[in-house]
Amino acid sequence: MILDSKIPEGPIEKKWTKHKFDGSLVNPSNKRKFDIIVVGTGLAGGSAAATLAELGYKVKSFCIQDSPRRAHSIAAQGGINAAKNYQNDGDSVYRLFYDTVKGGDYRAREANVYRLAEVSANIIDQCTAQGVPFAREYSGYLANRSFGGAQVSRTFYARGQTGQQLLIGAYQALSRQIGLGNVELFCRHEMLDLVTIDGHARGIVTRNLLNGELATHAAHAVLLCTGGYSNVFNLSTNGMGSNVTASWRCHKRGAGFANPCFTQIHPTCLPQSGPHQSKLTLMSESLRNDGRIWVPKNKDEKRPANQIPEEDRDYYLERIYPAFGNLVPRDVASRAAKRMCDDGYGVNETGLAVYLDFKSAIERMGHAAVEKKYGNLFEMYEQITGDNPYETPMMIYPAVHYTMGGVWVDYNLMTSVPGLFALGEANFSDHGANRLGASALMQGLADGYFVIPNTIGNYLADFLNVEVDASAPEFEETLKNVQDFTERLLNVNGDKTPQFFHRELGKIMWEYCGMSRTLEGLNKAIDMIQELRKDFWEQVRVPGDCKDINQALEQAGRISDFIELGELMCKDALNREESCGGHFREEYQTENNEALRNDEDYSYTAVWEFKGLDKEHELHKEPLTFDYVKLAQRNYK
Amino acid sequence: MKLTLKIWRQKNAKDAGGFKSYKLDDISEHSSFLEMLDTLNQQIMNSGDEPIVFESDCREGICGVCGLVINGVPHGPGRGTTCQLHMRSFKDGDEITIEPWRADAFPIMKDLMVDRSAFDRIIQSGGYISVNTGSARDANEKLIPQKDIEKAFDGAQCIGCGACVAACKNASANLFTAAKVSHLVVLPQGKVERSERVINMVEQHDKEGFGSCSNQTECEAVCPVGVTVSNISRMNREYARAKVKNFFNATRGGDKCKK
Amino acid sequence: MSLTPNTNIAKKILTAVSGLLIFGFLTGHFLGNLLLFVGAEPFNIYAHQLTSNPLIYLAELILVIIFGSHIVTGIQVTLASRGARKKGYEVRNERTPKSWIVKSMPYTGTIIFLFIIFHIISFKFGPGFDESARINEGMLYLTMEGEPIRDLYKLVVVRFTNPAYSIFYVIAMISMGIHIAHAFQSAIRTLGVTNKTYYQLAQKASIALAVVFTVGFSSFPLYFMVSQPELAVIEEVETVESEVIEMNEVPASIEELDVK
Repeated sequence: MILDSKIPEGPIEKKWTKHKFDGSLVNPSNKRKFDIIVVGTGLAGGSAAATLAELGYKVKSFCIQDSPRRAHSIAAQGGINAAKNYQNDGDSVYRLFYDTVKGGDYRAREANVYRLAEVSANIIDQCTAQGVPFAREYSGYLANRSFGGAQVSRTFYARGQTGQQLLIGAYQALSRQIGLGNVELFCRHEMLDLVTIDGHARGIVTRNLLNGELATHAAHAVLLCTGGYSNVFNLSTNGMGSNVTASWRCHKRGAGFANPCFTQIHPTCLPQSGPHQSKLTLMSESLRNDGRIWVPKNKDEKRPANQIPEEDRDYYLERIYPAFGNLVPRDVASRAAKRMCDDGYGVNETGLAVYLDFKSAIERMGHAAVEKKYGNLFEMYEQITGDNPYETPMMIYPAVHYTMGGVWVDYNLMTSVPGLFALGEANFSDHGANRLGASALMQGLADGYFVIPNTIGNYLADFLNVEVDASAPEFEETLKNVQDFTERLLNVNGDKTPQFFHRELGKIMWEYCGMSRTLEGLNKAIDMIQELRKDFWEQVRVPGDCKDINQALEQAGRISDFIELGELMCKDALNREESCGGHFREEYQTENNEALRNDEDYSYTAVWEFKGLDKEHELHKEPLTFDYVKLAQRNYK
Repeated sequence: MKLTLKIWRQKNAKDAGGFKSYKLDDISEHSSFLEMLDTLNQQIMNSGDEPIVFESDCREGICGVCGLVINGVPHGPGRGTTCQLHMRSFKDGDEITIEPWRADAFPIMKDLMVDRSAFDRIIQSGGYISVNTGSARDANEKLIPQKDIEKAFDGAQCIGCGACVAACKNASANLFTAAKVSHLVVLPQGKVERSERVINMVEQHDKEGFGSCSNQTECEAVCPVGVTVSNISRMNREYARAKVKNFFNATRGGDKCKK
Repeated sequence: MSLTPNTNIAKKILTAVSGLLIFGFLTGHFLGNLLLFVGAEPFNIYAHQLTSNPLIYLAELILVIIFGSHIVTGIQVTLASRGARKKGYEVRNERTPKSWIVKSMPYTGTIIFLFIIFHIISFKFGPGFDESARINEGMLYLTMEGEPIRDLYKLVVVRFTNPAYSIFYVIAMISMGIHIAHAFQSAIRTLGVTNKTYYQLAQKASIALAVVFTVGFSSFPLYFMVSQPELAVIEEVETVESEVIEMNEVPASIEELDVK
């Protein structure tokens, strides 16, 4: 595997412009000769499919949901960053770039991040033009808020439903192209394999989830926009259907998987209520703007939260990090919460929660202002827990939320399989080891609206008038492969449900590869996962057949991939003998329990090459160089 | 808690289907309604049968994919979506009837899963602003009063779950269609295409086989996100306006507003 | 592109517009009928002037179109809606209060339609419609000026003093009231009023109109049923009967009248 990041020459602020100019263009009349498959219809997939179709390419769009509008991007609440500097508070493309690299704990590619910051402003313009109802001031101008860790107000938002509104914008743009006949939409279709011919991605194999039909689709390029893999933890804030299958199967066809251990834990989620828990719910991080986090000073505190007087409360974030207080980065906030709970200060019946209190915010801003800003979040909290956050503090606990790692891509967003691209959360590119709040939406849309339309031509230009068609023998072979795999799943006929294995995997991952990791723990986890994989293929039971709607079958296939991924995540975490961003090795920390990076030895992207199921992955290193951002140990004191 | 569940089972779109009863013990009142069904499904699978097919994804009330008619109310007794419903809304020993959305435009695919692609086709017929990527001007160029944003949001927040259709005695999708028409028409950037949008969407709505609106407002009463029926009035007004405008355009020799 | 009502919304708008026009008709009809409380002479003269005006045919045509489109679009929309859910729910619980009123619209509408047919047959085309047969039917009224006109007042009295008849009328009027209770605010909504204040006003107005029209129109049959007035006028008519017969050499065939 050769890792050529294809970063353009020149000063960082000129790279993207230069790259766009240097890149090959496809003549407008030739664009319709290219077929492009876009898998996934979230922010990245929806925006990419719509934009490529607008340009004239022939697009086939696939999603596993019943409608493109259901992609999990819809659940993002807080906002989207953009370097508009509407607030005149010193923001700029350069600052957003700098903050993102720094926030990512210096494990992201500078050039990619700069480009992200550069196009961020266009996203806001584009979305506004589509009718996204971003919050406005009374004057009619766009409103901004400051968001987790940022010292400027650059976050645009649409109530607490920014992800939904942005996705609906992309969905509308996509719908328009479908209506015009430029995009062919395949809902309830799951991509189960990638077809490669002479090393190039030339199509996919899909299963129609309504009737089990396997089919092949040919194209000149395949775009993976299939999101992240947080569900490897079983309990995460991802949707029930979010999975790694498309990415993982591409990985098994030669796409390098980068930094799989970089997972983000979100500090403000609802705590678990019991063993029936099917998923975790995130409360927007914006709550930390006005809410104060605390635990009782007394381990044996029995009083209800709203009766505990100020002197018996430990506002531990404000105490430990006076400059940033409740707005410290996500991983710092998460680990601090875990530490408090591990030390026995946790609240809730499980002892696994801390308080997030709006008492002083209500006193300061008034009930009405708090309601206006957080009303729907409070409502949501009350609906789930039955508690009223206006009267009693919320209870929160960290949960897995986002995965920075993903399929390795170069500057053009192309993976190590030529013709296969990865966009949005599915790729690894822009967030390094930790993602800033309100940057996921930005990256998904940047990739889809502005990056891929300008970079895909570089690849396609070489294949003008090259026919791709699904009658090539490779398609038949790959299809057969999928068929065999499906039959294997159905024929295990064990006595355990797929869900059982998901839970077991989740427990291992959360315990040993979650918020903090150790050498022994990871080694243990690898053994346990290998054992689990063996058990899975001996004991799983998938009822029903493959010619029908079969949710258990879908689940089983995805879990089998999660098990394999879980093992790689542990190996990656084991390999990275440092702490950075979302990866925290207990052996490598400062006196203040802060992540201790090792820039000397680990300033690289770890890219794993699949060598066969029972063979070791091969590690490739893409070195990271920092010409603009000064490497510094993070210090949020 | 102990529960008796009467659940609609249907093998496929062609099957006639029927109710089947299940008994469940030991359900936590903290569990969500769908987690209760998860538990039931695990039991069904452990006994070697096929689990009940129902849809869910985000389980936080925003993706709009879940939707069951519980004891005769779409999304059940709570205020939000089915996934936001918790078992504390029920009593120990309750019998709960669970049915799929019922509307001819939403054919049942299996058990409790329906096909809502009609909604997508309504949006495809005109539920957008035609702006190609890259052509947008600065977002602050056009000022939009806060109250207009609020008005737009009333429609924009629709999650497309289809509870409005399920609840409507006429199985009408007027609330869904109106939500999009309203969202886009109250914003300045959506005004240019207002006539063709509303006409195309309303025609597609009827083509899909949804019923008409009787202004009973049951849709608003069950909408999990609170889309209001005033959107329907706005759509009607927009529609009438577009028809009259197009009529005069046509009499002047131009028929520009219809694709 | 024409104004053809090719969608349910277009039809609904027509239903709403025609419905509101019907309110205009009802108001006029009601005000005119109030003359029943004033006496036979003013009522009969009013009725005569109304029906002898040549414009009446145009007015009637317009009314037929209004009612016709209300009925046709109403039926079309109802059928379209019925067809949208062929298999219903096992259990149904609605949140909107008084939803039976909405659901009864086609039924109250049908009752009103049948009532109107009956009403027209028994009054407009009832005894005395045929000018030449008025004497034989006992339906002639001589005004103070001596002009012979139809004695519609008598017909009203004869009909409404019959309790069965009056009670049927009151039932029909209650159906109309139920229809109106939903209809007015629904029409306002269909015609695009989004302002909450106006809409709430329309809701109240809807109930008020329902009450006013039900009570108002029911007051006529109830008044005559309860008061059972003496038909003093009848003798007066009988005294001139012979003269009129002279004017009409050949009397029209005499029908059996329930008046007698």
